[in-house]
Formats: sequence, C-alpha cells, structure tokens
Amino acid sequence: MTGAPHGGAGGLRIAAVGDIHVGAAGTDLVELWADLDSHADVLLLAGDLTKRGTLREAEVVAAAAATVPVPVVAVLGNHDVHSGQEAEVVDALQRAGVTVLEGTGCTLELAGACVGIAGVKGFGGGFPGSSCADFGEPEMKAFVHAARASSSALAGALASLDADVVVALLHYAPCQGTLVGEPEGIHAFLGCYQLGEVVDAAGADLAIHGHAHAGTRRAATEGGVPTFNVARPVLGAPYTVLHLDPVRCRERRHGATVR
Amino acid sequence: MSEANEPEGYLSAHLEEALTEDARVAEPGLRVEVAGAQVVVSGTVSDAERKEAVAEVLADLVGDRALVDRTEVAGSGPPPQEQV
Repeated sequence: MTGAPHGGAGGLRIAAVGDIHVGAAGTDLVELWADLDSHADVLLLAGDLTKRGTLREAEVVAAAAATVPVPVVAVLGNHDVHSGQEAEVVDALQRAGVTVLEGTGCTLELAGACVGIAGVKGFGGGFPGSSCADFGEPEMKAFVHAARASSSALAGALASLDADVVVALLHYAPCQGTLVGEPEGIHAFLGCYQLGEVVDAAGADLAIHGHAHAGTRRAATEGGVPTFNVARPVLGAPYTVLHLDPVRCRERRHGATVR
Repeated sequence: MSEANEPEGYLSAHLEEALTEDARVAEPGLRVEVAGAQVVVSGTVSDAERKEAVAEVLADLVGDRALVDRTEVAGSGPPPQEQV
C-alpha cells in the first residue's frame, strides 16, 4: 500500500485490473468481483481480458462483467486481438454493458464528479534511449506507425473529454518506470514513450495500463502523471483500488470548485 | 522446433515461444531457464488449469531434462489500495 487511501465523502475510488486472461472454461472473477461496489465506484479493465481473443472467451468475461455492480470500462489487449475476432469480442462485452474504448472516451458521474476516461490498446515502440524509429524495412516502419497511430488516437480521445477527473486507460505502458522487473530487452514490446507524451500533454490525472506481468505497480510518466501497472500478476489480487480527490483534480484542471 | 540436444539458449527461447503460442497456455510472460539437465519455468499463470498445461506443453519438448515448475497462479488476495 502506498500512502493512505483518501476515503471519506467525495473520494473517488477507481478499481482497475488488466491481464485477467480468461479462458473458455471459466473464471474465478465472478465471485471476486461480486462485492466490488463496497470498494469502488467504477471498474476499469486494462486489456488482455481473454486468453486468445475468441468469442467464447469474451462471452465468459462478459458474463462476469455483467454481474459487476458498478460501471465497467475496458480497452482490449494484444491477447484480445490474437484470433482476429476483436469485433465479436467488443460486441460481446458491449452487450454485457461494458463500455469498450479504442481511441475514444467516455464520461461518468461518479462520487459527485464528472470522470472522463480515454482509452486505447496502445502498442510497443520503446522509450528514450531504446525507441524504434520510422526507418529501414517496411516491417519496422509498420511497427513504428502502429505506435504513433495508437498514440494519436489516444490524444484525440483525451482532447474530446470535458471532465473534472481525466484518466488514460491503456494496455501498453506509457512509461518505463512501471516496467521495472521485466527484462530490459523486451521493454520496447511493452509500451512506448509516445503514449506518455500525449498523457502528459493532456494533463491527465492518472494513467492505467497492464501488459507487464513482472513489472512494477506504480511510477510516473516523464511529465509526472501517476501511472499504475494493474496487470493481475503484479497486483496479486483481482483488482486494485485507486483513491483520488476529485476536488483537487478539478481545481488543478479548472481552478474552480468541484460541481 | 525445439530439439532436446540443442544449445541451452536456443532451447530456452523455443520453450518460451511454445508457452506463448500453445493454446493450452498462451502465457507470454513466463520465463524458461535451461541449465544442464534442468529446465526451470517461472512466472504467473492465470489459473490452476493453465499451470497444469505448462507442464504438459514442456514435457513434450524438454527430452530427458528435469522440469522444475516455479510458476504461480495469479493472486486472489485483498485489493491493494493506492492514493493517487
């Protein structure tokens, strides 16, 4: 535990987890998420919800999400697109009431504040000192273009939000600090600095990602935005709860009192 | 394709790839170290069924080497709390 939870009236509680990798056989999360409303106001899912991105697996996730007693917002991860059925995966989740973001944003009224969430899967590409450039083979250029396109999509989603609290929800990491623990040689496949750049430019209040199973729970972008790696193997729990003070977030953003 | 008598580094890479690509496991975060007659696999898997599948997948590929399974099943402990 880092610091004391804010708690109390007006505190915003964000539950988050990624990399639950649910298979077709079922999941223990139905039981573990059942009392989530006593711990949090919303559940954010940071991608890799399924094992191999099949419709059957997505239906298991959707059935679990449908029982969650708070709003659920998700992005997909690389596992969720593995079988080329991402449209079906998204549809199954949406039918269960999950808001699925990909270069899009949504707002929710939670704890007396307007909470904006911008989401994108993201991509690899690396970080300062070991980032990939748009140069050389077409395959390398395509890799870099995917990272830049994903970051641009996140920038657009963040710009669309008018909210008291702004959250960036990703699967890939926007900073290297939360990757500590993973072999450095694979950091370029776990995230890219361009995601961090747009999170910083938008002045987001926090960023949430998964993907790095052996990474570190908490760090910050180059611009100082608190960033949380919520991959379930990192948490050792079915979700974490992040406590924010929406009054402080709104005052920082607008210089006004929270409505 | 892995061969039980190939250099340890290559075998390690092939075994990690197998654990990612085999539908029974599909876990890219697992690490495999090959040292002499021993193969050690570590990391976190999502459920007990997949932990069993790790052993199944590797058993077909490690030849006569002994398999040491140090994988853990993803935790279900109390949610950690963080003040942002």
